[in-house]
Amino acid sequence: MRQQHAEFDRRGVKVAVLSFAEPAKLVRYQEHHQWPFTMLADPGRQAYQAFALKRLSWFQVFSPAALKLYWKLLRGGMKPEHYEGDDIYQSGGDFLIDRNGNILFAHRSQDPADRPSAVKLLQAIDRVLGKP
Amino acid sequence: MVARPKLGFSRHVETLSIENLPLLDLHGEPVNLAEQFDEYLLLIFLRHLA
Repeated sequence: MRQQHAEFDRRGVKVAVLSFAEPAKLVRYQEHHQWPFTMLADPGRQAYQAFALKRLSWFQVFSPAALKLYWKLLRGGMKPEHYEGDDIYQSGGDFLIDRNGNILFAHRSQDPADRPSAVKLLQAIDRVLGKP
Repeated sequence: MVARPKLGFSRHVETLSIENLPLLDLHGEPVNLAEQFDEYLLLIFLRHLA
């Protein structure tokens, strides 16, 4: 995602990453990951609710696709990070909005493995905005 | 208005009052989402921080 930063810029798309974590936890997360995007906190989850991002079931969190992803990440050397009070059941999503608050596309994850790559997001942006 | 859940990428246009979302920056200060971008904004909602 961070390698594609310039591609989003080139399309006039700013990227903001939202989390339901408290700002203090998000600071620790950002110190570790150094995302080149705006980081925002939504501890009350009003934005998650407004964008209809529901909580997942146990079966979705531990779906075969999710377990395969966890296994792949662990085999790749990823070490789980621990942030107290985290909620593994909250779903995530990706939305492109314009200045009027119109949601031009929406992707609501159905399980933890269901996240589009940066390339897929750029393709979706190009389809919506009609750019190459 | 609350957006309706959809599977995969949806191109059906929905509208939200983005100015009223109570978001915070990393210092805990309120942020007006409408002031964060000029044309388009890609919002990435994380599941959790691990």
